Amino acid sequence: MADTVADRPAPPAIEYPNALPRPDGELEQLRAAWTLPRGFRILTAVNNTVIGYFYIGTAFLFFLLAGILALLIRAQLAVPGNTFLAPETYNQIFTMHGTVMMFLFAVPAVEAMGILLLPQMLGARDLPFPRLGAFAFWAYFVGGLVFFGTLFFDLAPTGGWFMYPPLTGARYSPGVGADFWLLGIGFIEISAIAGAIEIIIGVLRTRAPGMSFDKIPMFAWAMLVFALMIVFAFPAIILATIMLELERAFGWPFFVPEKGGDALLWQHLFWFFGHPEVYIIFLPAAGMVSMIVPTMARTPLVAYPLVVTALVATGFFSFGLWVHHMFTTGIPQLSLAFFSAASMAVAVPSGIQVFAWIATIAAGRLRLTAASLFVLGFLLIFTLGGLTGVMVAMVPFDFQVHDTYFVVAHFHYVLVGGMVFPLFAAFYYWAPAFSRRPLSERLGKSAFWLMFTGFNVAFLPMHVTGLMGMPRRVYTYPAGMGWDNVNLISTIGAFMLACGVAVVLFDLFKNLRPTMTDQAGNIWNAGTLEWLPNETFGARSVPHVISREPLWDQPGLPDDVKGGRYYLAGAPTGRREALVTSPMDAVPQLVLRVPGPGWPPFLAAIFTAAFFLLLTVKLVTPAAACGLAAVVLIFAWMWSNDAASIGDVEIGGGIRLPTYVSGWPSPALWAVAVLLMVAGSLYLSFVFSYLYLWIVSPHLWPKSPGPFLPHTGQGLIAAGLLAASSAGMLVGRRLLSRGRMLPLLAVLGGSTVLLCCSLAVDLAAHWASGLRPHADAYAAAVFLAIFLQAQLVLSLVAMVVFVAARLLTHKLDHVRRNGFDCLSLTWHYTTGQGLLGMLLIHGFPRLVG
Amino acid sequence: MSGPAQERQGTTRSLAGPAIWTAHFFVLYGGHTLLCAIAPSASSSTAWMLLASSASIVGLVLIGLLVVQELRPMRRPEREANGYVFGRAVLLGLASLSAVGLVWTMMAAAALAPCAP
Repeated sequence: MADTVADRPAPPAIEYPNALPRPDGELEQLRAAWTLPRGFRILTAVNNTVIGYFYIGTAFLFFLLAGILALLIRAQLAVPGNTFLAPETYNQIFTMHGTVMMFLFAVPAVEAMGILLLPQMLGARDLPFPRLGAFAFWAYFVGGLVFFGTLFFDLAPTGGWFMYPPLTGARYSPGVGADFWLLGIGFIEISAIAGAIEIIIGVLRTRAPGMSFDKIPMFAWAMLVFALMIVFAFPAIILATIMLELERAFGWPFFVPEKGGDALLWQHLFWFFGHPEVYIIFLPAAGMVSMIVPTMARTPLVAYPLVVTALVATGFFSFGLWVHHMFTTGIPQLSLAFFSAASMAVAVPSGIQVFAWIATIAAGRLRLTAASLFVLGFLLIFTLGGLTGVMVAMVPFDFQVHDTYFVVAHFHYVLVGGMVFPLFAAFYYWAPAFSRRPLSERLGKSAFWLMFTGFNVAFLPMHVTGLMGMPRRVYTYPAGMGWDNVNLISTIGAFMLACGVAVVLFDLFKNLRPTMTDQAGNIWNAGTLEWLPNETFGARSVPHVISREPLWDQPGLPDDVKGGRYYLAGAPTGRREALVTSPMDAVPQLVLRVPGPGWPPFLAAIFTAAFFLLLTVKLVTPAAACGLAAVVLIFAWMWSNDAASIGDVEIGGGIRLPTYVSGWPSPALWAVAVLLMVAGSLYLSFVFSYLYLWIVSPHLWPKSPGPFLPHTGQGLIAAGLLAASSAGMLVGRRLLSRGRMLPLLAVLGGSTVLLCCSLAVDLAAHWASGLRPHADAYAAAVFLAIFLQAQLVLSLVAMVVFVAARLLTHKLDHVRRNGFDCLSLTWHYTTGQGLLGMLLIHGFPRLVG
Repeated sequence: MSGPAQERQGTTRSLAGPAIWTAHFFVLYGGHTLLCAIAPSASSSTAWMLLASSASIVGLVLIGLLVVQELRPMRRPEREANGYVFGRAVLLGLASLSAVGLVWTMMAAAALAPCAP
């Protein structure tokens, strides 16, 4: 059984990398490198703490706004026959409530907690790509505010948060409301992916020395699984939004049955994202609980390896459940059985975590703080939500309660219990690490009881309302259905819950004083690194970690770290730095110079948001100008990256590390690899869609070359050109290694021409065969393949321009070559995707013809 | 084997169980969908049973091999290696959960006719 903190054995003697006293001026140099911009220039800040504060503040703002919408919904449903809201307004409000809670609050809030907490928790100075984090935040902030603003101009969508066609198609949802949803949410998803890339590389490559996989804090494990799930889940919804927008704007009939499309395809794509989304929200919250429980119980987490196993297993299993949202759509029995089985299987890893928390509480002595109360509330509510989840995983039961208030009750128990309560626990738990004073325990406990009681008064009766047959999303209901009292009780509970949130808000205003220097500190006697004394650069020196709870096992660690006895006690390069370590064993590998404040990420996000929003209202020319401006700004920000090596620098303990690496040790190449996983996932979603449409409408697929199917030779020419362009990049790689820059430029130009020609040949061949994208679902699918390939080709052309400019200005050579390596990797991926696409759109019709 | 190569191999092995579950799920769900789209007749039952049972047997055997290999007595250097015991526990846990998921899917495949509406 786990020991309590007091009983732990004495740690082994530590050899400090640095001797004391530290040289004069070392700390001042470090502070100077990490100085924060002041005044309005704070908008240019990129370090994780400032961006983390902004992120959490914005996510909380959206939580409050969506909460107000929820109160409006409950006010409307309080009594039968109510006309408090107009039906159309009600539709907008419930659509925005779900959308804002899921896309603008839940995912960004946990991502924000990651960006704020992870560097400190991992002992890193910052995450490896601070500008990417800043870009992700500003894109989300601007996109989110504009999207929410549509509500005030009667432009908000009305199709529900999952926007099922045909209701959301051009015929039944004219106007721009649905377009705002499609482009706005697609854009916000891109921001989430940017944040996920930052988190994945951060957790894998910037941990403190010694923090091997078996010592990673549980929240970091959860954030790693969370971010990887985003990489594989979000592309499906991005593809779906592209398809529906193409259908609405240009008539490409992916979801129109009379042209061979199928509305169910949207549901498959949406829920392939939407179900993992539930776990994407839940897992980080579970990670927070796994951090809070051991501290409050004063004992290490029971069954750490099993909890990690459960996190990873949940990540996998959650991708095999999506059809359980579609049980009533008429799919075959066996499919129902597969997804019903998988839905029950996922309860096993979730159960493992719940038992581990209970065992930890039982093994220790729990302090009943506000954070502990929110955790206990979470355990009860989430377990109830999980149990009703197993109920709706049973097909016959789901048939009875589908689209009723029972389901509304179930998912609120899962989402509010599984995410909101842990998040509030996290506020109370971590506030002293970032604020001059902790939040009020008295107010926190009052808030908990109001929220816990209010939540159960609001949502427990909804199970009954649902079993009594009340469908969800109805604007009102007649008296005498037996629904009057339960709805009134739910409304009272919702307002009680809101009172609890108001108490937390008051507490935040009263007590939260964010600071970079004089935090309240480790008042809970927690064991992990985020409780070390921090400044703008994180901890003064990067500690060597020997256990999962270093502050419990390494007495004097805070003083030693603050005194500079560990690694990277100063700023040896004179700039902001992060210590990059190996992914599994956390062995120091590189001193990465990370960028400081700058306008490009902020402005690039503004222009990217403007591009999407102007496109929504069909202002194509201004949208194109904004898109171009965004690309130029991203180039400007990339230009200062990839600084030349300044030789090896000492980080302490006689360890000298390089300041520049290329190839796979480079975090930049890792980031591109993760980005390509996103692209690959999106393309696999397309392959699924193509095959799905074929299954639905096989008669549309041409059987022989001629009309609607280009001749084999044309496909082979396009494939050959594509392969040749990739071969050109291999030649370019050799030329770069030999330092032959001019031939390299020529090869880059030639490869780009081959790449563009390949795309043009393919497009022309299909066009010449008489195929038009608006004709039917088959044609739309073919042109979508070309469209997706064109996106990559366009990106490569932009990257070639960038790389060529760096070659010409001598900022890229055989040593300083990360720009070329990233281009090369993307190029080979593009070739692979293009060849797969050609095999599909040229080969598959011949195979099944 | 070099450090990075060892790291890659360790991670790959740990995720082998869920990868087998994913492949099995993909083969059964995708195979069933395709089979019923191409030939939704009584003759597809035999083909389905063949596909489902062989995929399930292969999946379970692979997970079994993974577990047996991992359960062999540890050599001293392995025992002392940083994070080895943890990696082994995670691998075994993931393999066991994957086997549970696989068996659940297999039971559904065995119990129901493939192309019933």
